[in-house]
Amino acid sequence: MKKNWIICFVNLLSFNTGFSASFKDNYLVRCNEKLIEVVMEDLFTPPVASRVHVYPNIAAYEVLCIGNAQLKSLSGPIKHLPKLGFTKTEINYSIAAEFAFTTVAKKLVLSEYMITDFEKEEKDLWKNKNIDTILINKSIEYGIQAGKQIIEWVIKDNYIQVKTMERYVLCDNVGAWKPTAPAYTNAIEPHWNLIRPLVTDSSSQIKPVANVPFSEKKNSMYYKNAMDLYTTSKSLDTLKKTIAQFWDCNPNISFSEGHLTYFIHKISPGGHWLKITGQACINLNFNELKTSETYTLVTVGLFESFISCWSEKYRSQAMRPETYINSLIDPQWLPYIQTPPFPEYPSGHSVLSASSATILMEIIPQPYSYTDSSEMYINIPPRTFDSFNAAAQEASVSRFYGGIHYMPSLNNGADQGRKIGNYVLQKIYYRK
Amino acid sequence: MSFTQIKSEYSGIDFKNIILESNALNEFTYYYLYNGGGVAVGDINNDGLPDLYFTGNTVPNKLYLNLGNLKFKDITDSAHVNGGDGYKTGVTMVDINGDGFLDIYVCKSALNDVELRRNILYINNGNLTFTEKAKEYGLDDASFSTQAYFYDMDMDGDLDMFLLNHPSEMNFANNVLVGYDKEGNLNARKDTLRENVSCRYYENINNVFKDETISSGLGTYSFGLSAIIDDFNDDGYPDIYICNDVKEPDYLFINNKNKTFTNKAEDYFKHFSYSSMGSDYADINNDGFLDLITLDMLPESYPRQKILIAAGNYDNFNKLAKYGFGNQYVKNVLQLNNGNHTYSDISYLAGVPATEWSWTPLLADFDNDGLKDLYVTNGYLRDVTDMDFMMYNADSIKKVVFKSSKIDDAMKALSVVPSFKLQNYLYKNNGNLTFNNVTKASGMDIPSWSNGAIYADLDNDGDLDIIVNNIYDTPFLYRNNTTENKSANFIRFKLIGDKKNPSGIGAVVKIETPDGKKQVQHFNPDKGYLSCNEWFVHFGIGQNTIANVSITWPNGFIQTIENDSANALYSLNIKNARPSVKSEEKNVALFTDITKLTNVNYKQKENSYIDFKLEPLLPHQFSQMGPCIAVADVNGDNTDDFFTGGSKDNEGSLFIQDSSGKFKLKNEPAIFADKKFEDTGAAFFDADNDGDNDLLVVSGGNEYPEMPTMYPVRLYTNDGKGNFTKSNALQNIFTSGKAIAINDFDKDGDQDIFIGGRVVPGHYGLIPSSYLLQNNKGNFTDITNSIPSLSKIGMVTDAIWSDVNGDGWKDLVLVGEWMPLTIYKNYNGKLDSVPTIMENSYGLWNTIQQADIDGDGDIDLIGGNISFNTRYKGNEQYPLTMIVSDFDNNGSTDCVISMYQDGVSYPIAYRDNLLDQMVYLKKKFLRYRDYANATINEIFTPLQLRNASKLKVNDIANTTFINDGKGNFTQQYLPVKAQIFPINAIVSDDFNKDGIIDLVVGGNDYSTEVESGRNDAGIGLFLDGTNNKFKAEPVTQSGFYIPGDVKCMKKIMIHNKPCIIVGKNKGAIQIVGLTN
Repeated sequence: MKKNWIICFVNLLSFNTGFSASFKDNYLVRCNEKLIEVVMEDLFTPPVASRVHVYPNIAAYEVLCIGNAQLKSLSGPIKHLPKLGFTKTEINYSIAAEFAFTTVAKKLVLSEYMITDFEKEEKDLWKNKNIDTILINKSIEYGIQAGKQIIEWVIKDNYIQVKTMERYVLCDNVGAWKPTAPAYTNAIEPHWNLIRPLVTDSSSQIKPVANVPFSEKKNSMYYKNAMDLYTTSKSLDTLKKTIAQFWDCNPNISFSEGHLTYFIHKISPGGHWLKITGQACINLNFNELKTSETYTLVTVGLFESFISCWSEKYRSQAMRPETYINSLIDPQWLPYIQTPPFPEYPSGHSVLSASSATILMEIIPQPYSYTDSSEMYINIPPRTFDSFNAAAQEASVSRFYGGIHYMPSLNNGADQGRKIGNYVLQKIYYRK
Repeated sequence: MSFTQIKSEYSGIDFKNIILESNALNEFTYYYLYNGGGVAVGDINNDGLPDLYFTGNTVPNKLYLNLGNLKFKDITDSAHVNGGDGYKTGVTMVDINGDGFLDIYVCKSALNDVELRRNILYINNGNLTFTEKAKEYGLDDASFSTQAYFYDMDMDGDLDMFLLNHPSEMNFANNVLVGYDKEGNLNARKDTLRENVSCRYYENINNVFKDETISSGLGTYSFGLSAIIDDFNDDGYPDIYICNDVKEPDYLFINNKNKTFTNKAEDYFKHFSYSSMGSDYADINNDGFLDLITLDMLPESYPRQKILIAAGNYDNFNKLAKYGFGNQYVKNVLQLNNGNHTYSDISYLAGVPATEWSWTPLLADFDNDGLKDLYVTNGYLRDVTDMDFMMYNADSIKKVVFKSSKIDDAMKALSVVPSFKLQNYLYKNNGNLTFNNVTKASGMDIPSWSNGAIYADLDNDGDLDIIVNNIYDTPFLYRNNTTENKSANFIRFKLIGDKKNPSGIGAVVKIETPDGKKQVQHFNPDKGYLSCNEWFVHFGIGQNTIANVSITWPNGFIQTIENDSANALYSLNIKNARPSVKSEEKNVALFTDITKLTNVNYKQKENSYIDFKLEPLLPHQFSQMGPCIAVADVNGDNTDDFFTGGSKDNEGSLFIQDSSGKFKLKNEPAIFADKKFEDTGAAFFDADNDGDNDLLVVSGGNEYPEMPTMYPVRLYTNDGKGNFTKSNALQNIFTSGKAIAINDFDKDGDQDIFIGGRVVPGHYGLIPSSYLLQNNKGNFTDITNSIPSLSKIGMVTDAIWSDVNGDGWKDLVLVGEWMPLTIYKNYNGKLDSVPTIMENSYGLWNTIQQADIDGDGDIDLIGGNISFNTRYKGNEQYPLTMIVSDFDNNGSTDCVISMYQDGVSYPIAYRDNLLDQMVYLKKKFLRYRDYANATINEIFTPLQLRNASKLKVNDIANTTFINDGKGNFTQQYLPVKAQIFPINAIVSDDFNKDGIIDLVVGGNDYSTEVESGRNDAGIGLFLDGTNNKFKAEPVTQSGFYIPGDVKCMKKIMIHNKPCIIVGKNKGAIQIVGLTN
């Protein structure tokens, strides 16, 4: 595995950041980029990462709503979200929105100091814009208070209870999920279906169709799917390998050589889509309102995707391909990318990529093609896509090439994701 | 003990094992790069002075000629023995051609070039020069070799070779890939024989060595780091114990006497060290049976443990056990030989479980007091298991490295891994299965990265000096000052065998000194790690001045010599030995297993439930406390019958004894109907005064959190013929309990009940409810609240009624987890409102029994505690503590156990486990380092601590409480052999009919968390009462052998003979009777 990595990473130091100069001008992109960085440092699992990403964006959005009538508060579509207890006043709403974002973010991340340092830099940036210091401070205070109100709502989302519920207990049923090499980590976030959803009523509102019935028989559909995956994996060409690596997005991948084990932190699948989102906002010169709306919709979609997807994962508790293939086809086989520690069905990346693309296709004027350089930080070269949908499709199929998901998981997951994306749009976007 | 370091400036030993890293050879390309080199000792020129040979991994080996007075001369070049090119590892000496001169065999590894891996055999020309002849002898093996062992494996008289190897790539060292085998069973994939990486077996045929690996069955695929060759099963043929690194468990290859070997490690050992490195095999308690030590990499310091050791993964541990990788723990194990081909790990009791990343153990008598001490080398150039490095720092480095494939960057990455030199360890054997760390006091506290080490009397003064091969430093040469201090005597032997085995490898030497002490040694200098020790058999004999000696040669010939004087070296020549006359003396053991004779064929079934999934900080699980057993005549035929409780979803079972002493299972629909409850306590008594035995069953366990009604106390009424119906007399008494004590405490003519609450399911640390139920003509009244302190007295594990103050009224005696010995005195039928507690007896008690053990007419008590042989330690000065609260207000109860080290009480939980239980603390402890030194005062706020409940343990011993007749007790610990396992069950009787009360005890605990490992050292123990004191009888004498997770023992009369019935978790019911 390590060798593969090194071979496919050509030296492209010059592309260190994927953004043009205007990156510096959009504070909401800066905030989200910083948050992606902190999430990576703090090793959140993908579902938890989606939680960390969504609430700060909602906080910023709600503050901007007060200042700008064009935006409509999410209190309503999100039934349990109370309206902020503020009226419009003489402050800078951009600054307030930014500090509402960071206030909520600090609550959610572990490495608070990274956000605190960021806040200092941001304050200086505002100062450099010749805004009156008193106004800045007032606006910051406004943002902090708004953030605190949002936090009161956030902490009722059942997270702290969910985290200490019974850890996943291995199931003896035939075909049930088993831990996978090399770390044999227990399945993560088994009770994520109990996290309070935002726009859906429950985690089971948008279900994928049922998985292919498990079977070890050679003439079964399940076996055929596994053989498809296995034969594909045995003959991966360079392009397929590149695609598998590009969308790997495993936030905490471990490498083990005897006692020498180490972890590489990577952007989570959700984080990857937020990179794409930020890039689009920059490329299209979105103003703060449009930027906030875009981020908020995408992160709500991600949040809902994980709840819905995780709910199905632990409903079906499907075995990973490597477990199946090792026991029935090839005891030596390992997937091209590392299997993450949770059940197979459906593919999370397929769900959330479809959800994100569905939302972005609607918000971003089409046609829109773009070059995605999100993975440059680990030296994976950029890839160009004709549309968000094309990217989502590639993200989805990357799981098949990578050898960690079967085809039905991709297709049914993507269906589920599109439904979630459309539902989010319907609840939040089309209402105006 | 006292040693003086002899500096290289004086000794002339200027060798340094410097590891030259390069593009081709670095930690990333060869994971074993810092495993270090070995050292061999032997008198190569027969001048009476032992010479030294060191291997250098990437630097030339060195041969030093001993000039006397601890001065040495480097003759490597003139002797032509620098080891040549390649990465050198182990070294051994052997007179392979029987010419009277020691030859040298050097192993090689690491490099991909086969020619650079060919092992080397230096044949001694007898004139201080050597000629390389590996190929000629068939020994130019090109495996990735660790160490070679020359031993007569097929008992044909000549020395064969076992070569310990390892695979070259570590990427999959910890992977367990599971697949269907040909029989259709899921099994772990076992690598089959592979060229150059499996162990190899070479048979000596007229001094040409023939590779018989495949036919021998020794072609294993594992990361072998050391081996012990000895006769483990006493059949006269040598067996091979192999220490394996990482996931593969250690192997014990039993010699099938036909040049084939079969791994039977699990028949002999209950668990293993996970990353086994060096090993030694010697008799630490002079009982005639050799004991085994294998080393791992657990740091001694708790803060370092928390930085360097990953929290246990319960599922992965179970998976390894399930697929044949044994029970393995990250710690040293010291396997005490029970003498019946079983071993018990006593490392916690002995005080040697943690010596950092350790390589060589040497068990030898360094102070000549007649007891084998322990020297341990340790150190790894870089702390690659540093959790912060692994989880956080490796990432940023790797991301830099990804951008260039240059190895310089890899090296740069490695250079930021923390790197510390550490002290090696020297332990003095205290003679009671415990060892004392005397490293500093002996002058051996010099930090180093040390690997291979040996002992040898380099200055011929009668004590064992220590020589250590170090990375980046000159070797340690420690001169032993025992003889200089004239503190003790010694006696040494040189063995002279025949031409084929000139040094007598495999001979057994025994001595007996006038003080009655016996010692034994098996001669094989090739042990420890990568190294070869001195060619003598050395005994310290303390103040004795003579010894009787006997030697048994590998061919079975024996020679005995009486009254050899001390402080001398003797030659023992095989020519003087004679065939032995076998005397078959068989002692008749007191106890014998009679399970089969009784037709009881019942295995306790345990439902699958993992308490740690809800409560990751538990010290052990509560869903595996069964079975319980109750004994009584239920059908009025005057023979004992018994009931054994079932686990959740498994019904309890009633066995009826017939007149011939055989048992039959009886169908009991009322009991079957209650199978959903887990039975943890049971007792027969006459609840309704109709003259028969009714059955009381207590429900318990941990399986139904938040469902109190799943823990009813149940009473079943007997119709006099052993048919039971559910009684309504006990209703709405719910607790997850265990203890039952029955007695007519108010003397009103019917039997009253005490029920002890054991645990609050899902909320360990909270106090469950106990009950006192007063019997009024078959109707029970809950009078618990009449004694306000009783209901929440603690986590009760056992209760008895016992008249401790001799006033004719039985008092209620309770013990429990985190509880002291607690006695409610009974004053004329009323229990005292406040219990009497013994302040220095807060224990993790499992059981309490009563007997007049000192024969003074009053009732004494015997308490079964957690014992000294676990990770958990606590005494009055340094108690084990637990704080309990819902610190994060999320509805789950958080319990944090802390233990003292160097005067500081640290939480024992690893960071990942603590943060898993209390997510909010993740913000506080961003790194492993942040948490490593934290005490509860840094973890919690003063307010949180004030609101938490606090529990303590200041006594962990299995002990007797001697009564002064008035109910005042003095603790007197049971013998050390009774301290190697938690005692769960005690039965007292005068078993050997000498007029003095004896005890049999049983125990263990397999339900522990996976970091410290299960307590499985117990095999049962017969304690012979000898007025005031108990003498622990070895199993070889007593025959009392009850291995497994023993949870209860009860006396039972079978065919009118007293027997003991033993219940084991996930084990078969065992019945032990008296032989006569």
